[in-house]
Amino acid sequence: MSAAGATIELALDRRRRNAFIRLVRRPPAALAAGVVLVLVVGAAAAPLVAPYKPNAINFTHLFAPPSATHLFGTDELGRDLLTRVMYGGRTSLEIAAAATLISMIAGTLWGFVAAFRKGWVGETLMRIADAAMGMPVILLGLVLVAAFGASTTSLIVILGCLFAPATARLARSSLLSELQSDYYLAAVSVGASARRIVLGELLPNTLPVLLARATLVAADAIFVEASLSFVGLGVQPPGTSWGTLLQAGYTNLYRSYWYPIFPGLVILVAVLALNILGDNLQRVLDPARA
Amino acid sequence: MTRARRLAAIGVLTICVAAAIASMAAAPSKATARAGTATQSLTSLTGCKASKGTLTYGIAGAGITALDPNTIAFAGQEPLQTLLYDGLTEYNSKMQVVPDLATSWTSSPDLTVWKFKLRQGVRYATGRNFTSTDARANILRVLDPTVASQAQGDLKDIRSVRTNGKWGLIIRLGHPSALLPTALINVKMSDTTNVAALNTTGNGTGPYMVGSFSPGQTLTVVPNPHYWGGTACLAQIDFIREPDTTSMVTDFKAGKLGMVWQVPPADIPAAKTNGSTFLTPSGVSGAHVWEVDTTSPPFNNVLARQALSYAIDRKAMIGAAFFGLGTPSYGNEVISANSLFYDKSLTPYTFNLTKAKQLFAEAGVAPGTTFTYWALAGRRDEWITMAQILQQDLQKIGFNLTIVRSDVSTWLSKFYPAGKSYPGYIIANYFSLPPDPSYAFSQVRFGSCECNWKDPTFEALAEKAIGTPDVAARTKLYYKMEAIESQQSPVMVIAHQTNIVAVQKGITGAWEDAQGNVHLEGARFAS
Amino acid sequence: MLRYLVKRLVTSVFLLVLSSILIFLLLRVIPGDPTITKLGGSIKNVNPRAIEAIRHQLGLDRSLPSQYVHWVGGVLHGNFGRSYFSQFPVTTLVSERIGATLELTILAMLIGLLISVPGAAIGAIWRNRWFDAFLSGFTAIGVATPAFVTGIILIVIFGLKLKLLPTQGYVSFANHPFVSLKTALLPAITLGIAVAAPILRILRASITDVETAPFIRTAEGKGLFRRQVVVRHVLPNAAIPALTTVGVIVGSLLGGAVVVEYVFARPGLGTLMVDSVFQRDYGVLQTLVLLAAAAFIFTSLVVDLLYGVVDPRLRTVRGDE
Repeated sequence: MSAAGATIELALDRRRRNAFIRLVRRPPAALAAGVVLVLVVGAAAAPLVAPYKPNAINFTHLFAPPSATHLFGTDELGRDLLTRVMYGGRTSLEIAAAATLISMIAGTLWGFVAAFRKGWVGETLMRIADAAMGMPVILLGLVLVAAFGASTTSLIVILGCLFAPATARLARSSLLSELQSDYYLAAVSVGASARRIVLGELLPNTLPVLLARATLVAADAIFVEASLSFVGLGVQPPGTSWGTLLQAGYTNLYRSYWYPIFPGLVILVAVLALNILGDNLQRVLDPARA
Repeated sequence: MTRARRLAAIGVLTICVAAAIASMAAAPSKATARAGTATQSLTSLTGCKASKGTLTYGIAGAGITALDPNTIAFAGQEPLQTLLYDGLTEYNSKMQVVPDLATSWTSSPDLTVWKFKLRQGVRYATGRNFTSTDARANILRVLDPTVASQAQGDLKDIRSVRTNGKWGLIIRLGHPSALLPTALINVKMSDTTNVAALNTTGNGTGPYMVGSFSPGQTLTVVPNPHYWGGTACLAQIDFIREPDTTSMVTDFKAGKLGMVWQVPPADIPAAKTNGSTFLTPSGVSGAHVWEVDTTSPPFNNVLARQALSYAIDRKAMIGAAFFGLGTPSYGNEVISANSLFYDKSLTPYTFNLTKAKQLFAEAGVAPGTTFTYWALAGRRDEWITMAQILQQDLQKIGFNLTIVRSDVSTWLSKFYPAGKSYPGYIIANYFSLPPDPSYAFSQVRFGSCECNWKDPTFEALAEKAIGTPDVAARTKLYYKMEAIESQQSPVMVIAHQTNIVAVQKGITGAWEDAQGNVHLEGARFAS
Repeated sequence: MLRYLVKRLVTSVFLLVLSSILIFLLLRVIPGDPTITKLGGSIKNVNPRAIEAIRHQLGLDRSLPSQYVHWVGGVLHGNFGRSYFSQFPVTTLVSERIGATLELTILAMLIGLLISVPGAAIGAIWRNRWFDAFLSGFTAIGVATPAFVTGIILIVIFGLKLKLLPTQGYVSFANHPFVSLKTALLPAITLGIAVAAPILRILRASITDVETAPFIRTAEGKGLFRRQVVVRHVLPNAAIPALTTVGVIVGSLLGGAVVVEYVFARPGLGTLMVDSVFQRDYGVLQTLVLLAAAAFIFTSLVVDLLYGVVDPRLRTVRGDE
């Protein structure tokens, strides 16, 4: 490794390491991170900490209001809503996380290839992304769910694919700006290998932008999953997600108005926290772009 | 007695018999013989002097997209059948078959030749006269194999339709049928001179005609100035599509809708506002059913079907999904347990998981088998509540149930039309069953039923029943059919339950028939 | 400039063709058959010949490429086909409903701009911590609340409890302008909030950016009032990056309107779109997607050209996003 490359890398490393500390020092960011953590832990530990079994039907307690025994009340089959919100979180967050991962990997590859392969390959790739982005997300979602069903796996893949084109655009544009930068020109001039440049320099440097994008995609995924649930095309029973709980609550609004409130609030809080986190991450990691 | 007088006597006798059969078919308790003549009070006469007020009618989840009355695809279209159109015959609110565009009818003693006298002075909304040529054209259109008409199955025995002058019609049947006037209710006399425009213009002879139409969203009907039965009572009726049931009930509570159709049982307390009422049909014949494929494993085995029927906790399902509103069908029977044609001695399928498990074992269905429950997305949430109860119960005896909700096109294409194979699927559906057992049974007959069930004895009994004029004799045949249907369990009948329709205070004259169809032709605002 | 314009137009047409092929293939792949949906489950004893007749009538018995070519040929002649279900020409259906969607989106855009631009300006002039926090809260919640949740809350408050505003339907603007706007208000606010939040966010970010620029410090040094600096210098310069966001939002408003129209039972293009997906009304859906794609492509083209007007530097060098 050349001396010039090492210095550049060292400086960037320091910038990244400090970022975490600076992020946590921002009160809204810290709060948002805390909220996300609570939701994730609550969902992950649901089988251990949830007060009831998620699918235990109790005909004597239909639509029970919130009480000491059922903090969030019960649903149309007498099932404990707190338990179901926790289990719903498992599905919603799993879908959001996995869909985000797919969208980030596919989108980054897509965008990088488009950035490197100038000419018709790159051009075509970007135009496909444009065409996909030109179609309303919810429409594509509906069509794809009709095609592949509404299982958790297919929802993950579908949402991942829905968000990939926009990620590809972002990845491409941020890579293109990196390609203009001094350190890239330096690395090229000292004769570093293409793979080394991509993995060692370009990817880490576009990572802040992509990471910020990832939290926003996760928020969007929760959002779109909830929208699909709203027309009955979300996770299938007895599986639950926040979206399906909100939908079921909305249908039973006049039986128990508190039913949709809790799932609705949880969706709101989760999306809010992820958005705040994403914004702050962007500001800390990439001040120039924020 | 001269030959002519003897013929006349036979004719009069047949009129009475036929009309009696027609009316008794629906309500055997009121076995008063009614001749099909124009003298009796007609349901079709409006009795209003002026058209006043606008009635708004809410439909949730889907809108009216087409107006052709003889190729109906959506149950929400049903009110138009009597608003825009007339048939030769129709139901009155007691579900008796009464004259509409036919003023009287007679049949030959062997019930194969039927003569109808048509009403004179009837005009289409365009002003054109309605004659026997139009009646013939509509019946022939319904019988056309390339036209997908809902009435075709019930009329398949018709061999010829001839006009008898401008106001007469002669129909010949291949098999005797005592129920032709009942079957003809569903043939609506649309204007067949322009079939291509029927779906968009809805040209008929009914009390109302199309004012404006935004398919899938809103339909406005206004009085038909050429209507033969008097002045329409309302100045306008708007059919409004609401996105979902909660929005529909919200708008009803806010007073923005005059009537709402298919109110979910869960929303009944909410829909009771400011003195609103619910329509109460004089009988309920519609049923929530689960269809299985009786030609592919595991449900090609009758024991597996019986096992499933025993695994259904009908009482719990009616409690949770219909808030107690519904008649459980313990006999697993398309005929409602409240019907006078229902054989009370049928062995009930009382909820019994031990028995279900045992029968599944006898049928060779191994524990751990997964069934798929196939339902609609965004509509009929009660089906999902029912499914989750079954899911928990099946789990107790070692079986799995995967619940899948799909959009209407995906849902339909899995099992419809009859003849498709769908092994291991349990498909939730709603049968809008005619009150007459012969036509209710036709839902489970071969060629009609998506369950693909074929039982030669049942089919033969069904043919025989249609040609049996004597009600007591026919009822005996129905009992035999019920016994076979119950034992064979081609479809799982959960409960008989009707469409719940809420009406704001001040609206009168609307009624709901036993099939759950709403009749607005006499609706008006109380002055 | 002209060469650039031509190139953009060519790519736009290419994009449109691509979108139409994409949706055409997608629709054919998914399960469900318009023939069966058209028949509906209530028709028993259906004759196979009836199914054949309908398939032929709808042109579904042709091969896929032939169906596509037939459709494109029709489109080129201005014939978009008919709905499989209602039998109305697609152009009639679209023109009947486009008014409701246009009214909603224009009103929503106005409300969105009325909230975001003054909000950002006041924030920049006033520099109050609490107001800043309020704006951040509004953007965060605005971005985080699904439109159907906002919609339901507004329906319950204004429609059911206060009975102030109509909660559903559509009245033509040409016939009753006032009633029409009143009916459109709740859905427009719902969509407006969803539109305002991202614009406000990007505007505030770029205001912070611009404020550090030397020419702002010069302006301040000249002794101009804070208000003058913000309105004359900061806002116009901060508006450039916001323009892209506005462009993207305008382009995707049709998609965003889907849910809002659905919740408020507005007979617009969004509801038509959802219905045609569920019914597999291919012709209607293909036309709508083409329309949505065209709107998206057209607005991004306009935004790109506007960029050239606003920022002359961009006229020669075409930056990538």
